[in-house]
Amino acid sequence: MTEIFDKNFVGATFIFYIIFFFIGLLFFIKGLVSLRVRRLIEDTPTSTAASVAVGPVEVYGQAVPYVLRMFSPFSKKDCVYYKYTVEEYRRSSGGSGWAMVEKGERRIPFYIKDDSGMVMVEPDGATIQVPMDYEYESGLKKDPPNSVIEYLYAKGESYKNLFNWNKTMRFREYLIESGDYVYVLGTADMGLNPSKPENVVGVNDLVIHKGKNIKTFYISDRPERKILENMKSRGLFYIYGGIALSLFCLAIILHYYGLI
Amino acid sequence: MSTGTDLLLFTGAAFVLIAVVVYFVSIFNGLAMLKNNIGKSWANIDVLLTQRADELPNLVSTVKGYMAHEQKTLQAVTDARAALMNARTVGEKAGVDKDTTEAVKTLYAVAENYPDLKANQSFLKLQDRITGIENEIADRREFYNDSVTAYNIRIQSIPDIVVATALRYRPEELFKAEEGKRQVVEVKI
Repeated sequence: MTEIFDKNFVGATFIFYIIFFFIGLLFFIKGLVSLRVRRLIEDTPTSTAASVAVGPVEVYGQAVPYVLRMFSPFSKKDCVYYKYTVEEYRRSSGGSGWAMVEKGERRIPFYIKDDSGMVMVEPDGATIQVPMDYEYESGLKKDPPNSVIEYLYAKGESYKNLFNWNKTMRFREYLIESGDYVYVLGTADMGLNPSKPENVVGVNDLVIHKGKNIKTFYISDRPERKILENMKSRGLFYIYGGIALSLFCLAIILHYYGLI
Repeated sequence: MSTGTDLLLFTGAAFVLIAVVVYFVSIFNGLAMLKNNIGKSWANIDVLLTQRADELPNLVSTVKGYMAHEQKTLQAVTDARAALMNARTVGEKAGVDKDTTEAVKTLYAVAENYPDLKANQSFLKLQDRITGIENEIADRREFYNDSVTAYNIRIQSIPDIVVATALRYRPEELFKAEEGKRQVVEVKI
């Protein structure tokens, strides 16, 4: 009996460490990719909106909605991108913590405006990194704001439990608001720009989108310097962390087999 | 050492080797991209320089009838255009570009003394077009110079210098008129 248990234990542990060995490997690759993108950002000079030419481009300017207007679900801010999460604090015998109830995001085409003019960005397929802008919580004696309640009702969710008490919930929003300064690294191409609104002047004919050859398409509401710092620390963390995790798991696996 | 330790060391070394190879490949690709960017941004400037050079004869023939006594000014524009067409290197073109801009500016300033010319629609359209092209050249010159600066810094930094030396990459010239390199526009009257 003990022998069977030990075998199962070793088998389960083996699979566990194998999985974590590969997770370490993925971290390592993710770190290398992050540093590669960092280098691409560093090496691409910033163009003005008016002088954007076909090919890989980097622009920095204010986000201006194209034709559609969009408002974020909780804070009702005029924005060109939003991501939101709804989490609920749950307690169980296994432990307690925040569980994701719902999440979603939406993006619409927008212009980048600077002193020279405007250029359109079609954000489909972009990696968008923005810090959290708004956070609301509900608890026993704390109702969420009306906009959050309306949103939950529309989605068929409720912030109250079976006893009509408020659940402990957390609502977060990540936004690129209209007028925010936005960094974009993508590929500019001809022939994709939908008809320009008549009242808008100084718009470049090109559109920045996800390129066919250079796949990197990155949007952030941080300035370039902050993005580079962030990517460097994250890239190195994943590389060193990935190597350490993989080697540690490999050492444990080898130890189980009596090879170390 | 046991087989397990060897395997562990081998895996660690493999990680380091992969990281180093990927790093050098990214340096190679980065330098190739920078060089390509320079070529692309230069082509964008060159096409505008040609467009402006093509508009200058039209400008001269439009104003000639009104400014018959301003031969010196008109000749300066014509000579600047000729010099622009003959310039080959970036430095030469930058010098001639500056001379051309100055010659055209002088012509616009002199045109202020001719009310009939100022009312001429063809002249106004040409003036708008040439000014637009010059603004675009200024924008793209900045981008070109940024590309060249990024490239020149890269190929002189460690470890990029190793790859750059192996590929025989040389520093590129900025689009900037240097006093010594500027061609003197001959004024023939």
